[in-house]
Amino acid sequence: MARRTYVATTINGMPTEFLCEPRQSVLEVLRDELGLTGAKEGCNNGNCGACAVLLNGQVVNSCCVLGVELEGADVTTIEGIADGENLHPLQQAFLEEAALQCGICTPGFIVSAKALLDSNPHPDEHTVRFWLAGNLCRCTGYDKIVRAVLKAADASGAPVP
Amino acid sequence: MTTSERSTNYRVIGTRPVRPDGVEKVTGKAQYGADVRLPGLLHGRILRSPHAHARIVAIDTSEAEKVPGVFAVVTHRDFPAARDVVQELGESSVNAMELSDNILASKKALYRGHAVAAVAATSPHIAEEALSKIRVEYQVLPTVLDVRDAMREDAPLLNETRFTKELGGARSEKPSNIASHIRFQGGNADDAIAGADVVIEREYRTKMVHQGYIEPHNATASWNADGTVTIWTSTQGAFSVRGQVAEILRHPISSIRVIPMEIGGGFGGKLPIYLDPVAALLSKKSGRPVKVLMSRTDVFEGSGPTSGTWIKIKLGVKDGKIAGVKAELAYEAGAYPGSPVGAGSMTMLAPYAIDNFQVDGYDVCLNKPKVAAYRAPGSPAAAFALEQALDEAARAIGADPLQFRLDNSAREGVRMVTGAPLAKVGHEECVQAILDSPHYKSPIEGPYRGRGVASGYWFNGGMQSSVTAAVNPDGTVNLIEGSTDIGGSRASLSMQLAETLGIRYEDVHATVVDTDSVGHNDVTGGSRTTFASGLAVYEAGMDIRRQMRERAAREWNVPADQVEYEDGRITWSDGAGNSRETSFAEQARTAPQKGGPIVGKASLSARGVGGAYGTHLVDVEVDPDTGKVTILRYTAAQDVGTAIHPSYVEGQIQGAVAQGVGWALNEEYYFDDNGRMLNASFLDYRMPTTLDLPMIDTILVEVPNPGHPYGVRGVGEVPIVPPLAAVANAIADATGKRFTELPISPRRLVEELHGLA
Amino acid sequence: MTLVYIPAPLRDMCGGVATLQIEAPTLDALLRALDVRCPGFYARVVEGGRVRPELAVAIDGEAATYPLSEPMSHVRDVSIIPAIGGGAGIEDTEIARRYPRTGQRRDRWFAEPPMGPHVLGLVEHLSREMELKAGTRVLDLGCGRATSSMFLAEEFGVETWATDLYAPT
Repeated sequence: MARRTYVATTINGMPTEFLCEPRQSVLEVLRDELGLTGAKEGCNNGNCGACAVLLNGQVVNSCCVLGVELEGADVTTIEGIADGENLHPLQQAFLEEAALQCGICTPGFIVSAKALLDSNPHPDEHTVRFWLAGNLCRCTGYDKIVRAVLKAADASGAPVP
Repeated sequence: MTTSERSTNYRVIGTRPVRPDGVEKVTGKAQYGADVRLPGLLHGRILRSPHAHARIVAIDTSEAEKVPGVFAVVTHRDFPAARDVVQELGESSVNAMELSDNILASKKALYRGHAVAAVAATSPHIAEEALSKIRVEYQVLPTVLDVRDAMREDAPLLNETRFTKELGGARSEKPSNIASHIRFQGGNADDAIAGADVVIEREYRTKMVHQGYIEPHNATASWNADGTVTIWTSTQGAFSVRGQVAEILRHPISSIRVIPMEIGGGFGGKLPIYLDPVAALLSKKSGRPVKVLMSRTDVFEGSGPTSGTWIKIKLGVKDGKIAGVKAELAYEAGAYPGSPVGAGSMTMLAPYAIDNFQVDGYDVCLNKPKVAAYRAPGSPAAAFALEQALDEAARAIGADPLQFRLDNSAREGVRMVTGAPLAKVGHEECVQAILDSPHYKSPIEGPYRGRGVASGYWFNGGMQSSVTAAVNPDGTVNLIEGSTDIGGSRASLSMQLAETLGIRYEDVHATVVDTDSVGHNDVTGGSRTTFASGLAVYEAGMDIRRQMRERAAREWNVPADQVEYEDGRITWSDGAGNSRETSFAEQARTAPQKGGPIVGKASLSARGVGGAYGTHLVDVEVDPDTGKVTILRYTAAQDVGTAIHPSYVEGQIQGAVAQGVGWALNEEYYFDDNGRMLNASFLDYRMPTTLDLPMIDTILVEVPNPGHPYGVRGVGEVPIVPPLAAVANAIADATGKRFTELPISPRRLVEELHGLA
Repeated sequence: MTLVYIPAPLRDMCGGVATLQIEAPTLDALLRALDVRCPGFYARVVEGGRVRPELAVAIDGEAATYPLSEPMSHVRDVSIIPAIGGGAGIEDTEIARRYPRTGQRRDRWFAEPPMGPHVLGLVEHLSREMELKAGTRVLDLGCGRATSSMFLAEEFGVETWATDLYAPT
């Protein structure tokens, strides 16, 4: 076993420390070392988006980032999207619009969509589709997911430019 | 949009409540199979054959066992000798000997990716290191990868003792890769075609494709010193896993407890087992719980995609009617028998009334993964062939393609090719719904733009379900069921119970429990759960109603058969001014004092299943320079019986359309000559993304199934049947070229349009 | 009267006809009546006391796993069809070939005898030497899980008395 490295980071607003092997990805660290299993492994090579997290506000596939790269970083996972008992408007919209069936891709979609709405609170349908093209869903045909994101944007109360 | 023939008004059915498991799934808390964490957990990984066909001469695991952190290594030698018995998996079945051999190869590796050994270690990385130290000596054999090649007499044989079986036990004289042949015949197809005005004769091919669920297979097992085994797994049927593991390991069924975790998609691919017995044996050997996960490449190479196919059709039309059809279907079974060619043969002609037909089906083994069920298994490829031939025929006689389908449509009483007559079905209604749709009435104009239609059929399944419904003192009900919830069935079952009891949807709490905690439930497959488990839920609800009526009758000292239950109210009246009334809530609250807990139960083998139809309409635009096909607009009409939760019915249709479009345009197992899949990743196995699809419009045609109290039909599988042909017909309309081979990829389009083929 | 739809591969044995009218109280009786009209038909459809696993029966349009005792008096229509699952194909093995009753047992109890299905094969072999019929009494000493006794009772309708020091857990 390779020597483990000490990493200090911030996850979902909480200062967090962990030890990890140099070869461990952020996804492995989150799931196996920190018990944050909300991010899912669908492909482990950056093609499905099920493991998406926000790294310093940017969407990344956590399977393609090394755990040691989290030193000093700020990470948001699906577990940190809701504000306590209050669901994020995206989470609420996914429920109301039936935008999930099996739900395995849902954490990645919500994380990616949050990054979109954080930077562009009122995207049109094409922008939503372009932004979410890195997340695969095999159950829904995307129709209800795109509608949910558009609904959440409307519900967010952000000023329309 | 919904068009309904139903007469009843429901209170809960037809509404769109939030699903009970929704919040856990949008917050990342839902526990899927890979999320299982246990004290002392080891990680298992599987070694797979690099050859598509090879004799396994020797396996040396000694170096792997010496790797620090490795606790156990298993090969096929660790399995007990398997028996030659068939296990029913619902929509498919499997022979235990072949299942055992597929899970860990014994004498031969029959496809690239065939599992040959497994390791459990303290980390996945150590397990992978150890796999690289297992020495397998292979004697490489010639491969056969094409279904037509595999049928030839001089083809390399996967199994020298396999003969072609005919229906009812006859078998071929010589060994063959053709495991079975079936035939359906009615009237005289040859004469009918000879006398036809127009004859279309074509060969069609589809490629092996994968279900593409985002969650890879996984299994975690803990083998206890007393021989009891607990398995946490991602499956479409916990009881089916238990039965298969018991069979493979020759272990008592009562000693095995299977805990179904949330499942990340299945579409039929999570009916067979791959990892569960391996995890169990690794746990037995190591004394620790073991979690085995597939990588995405493992999923492509080592799970169960659906068949590539070759289909030949000869179809005659006379006076606007389909006079006769002759068809041959050859389906790839993969390494062991069991392709869905039977279903393909039986569904192909199902939307139409055709008197003269001859359909021959061949189940063909070759050096590819053993196929599993994939959403309406066998039917999409059959429809791809037939619906294109019909489109050509309609054009040849100058008929509107939808009117032509309407004029030839099957209806109640028409016999399928099996001879079985159809009950009340809704194909004509689906075609009419598309004819009446704003989409069909809109023009389609512009160069390289085209429009296509197609219909499709799927049987749907019945099978066994058990549920328990326990009434709580606060007027809520715990619904305990055993059907894996893939797409919202906890919601659709809760809604049926709420409707039956006349209570609020929010007052029903549905839980899917393990195999020790509920009676037997067959798999979530064959579009059966909302139908068959729904029947059980209805019966359990009626059981509660009966108990409450009897209690009220005792209390009021009146005959129970005079007590009515309606909308949660329990009433008695003698018609002479005397009446009594109580309610579900009151009976629930006072149950502890008035006879104890009220629990409704039902176990049944569902009858009354209704097959269902869909008709799809699609507009496409083809870029002649790049070969890219853009789906401009898509409308799917389907006979859904009664839409219990319309959002999830629409979702089933939209998801299936997306899969069908991927199958039509991009998806394929792309093999080199040695049988190596060259695109075993989500980058290269190109499934549709958000950018590849428009919104998908649905028309829910409600023709209630007479065999279910709420008219439920299965809805999940039908909608993957028409898209392949609908897209191909639209591309033919756009380009003037017929594409009889899938996928209609950019490369194939450009080659065809520019004469480069 | 029930209209029976003969599957295409079996029509040769029925004089080439596609349908036959049969009146029978049960599915078994119907298939036996067919066997009289079409010698050999029964054995092509039934094996080991059940419809062959690769086949299914559709009664009035609904395919399901029906027992041979299924009542037929009100049935209008019967078709014999391949099982929808396509069937994984049972490879012929020595046991299944030599002992058809054993080879076709698929229920759970019989799928799990600790010593394997050849135990049943042996019982089936011995049964051929005896005239077992309903009402015959069989004593099974050292019965273990009583697999053999249950097999004999179900297959031949005999009355079995079984005992053992061993108690199944």
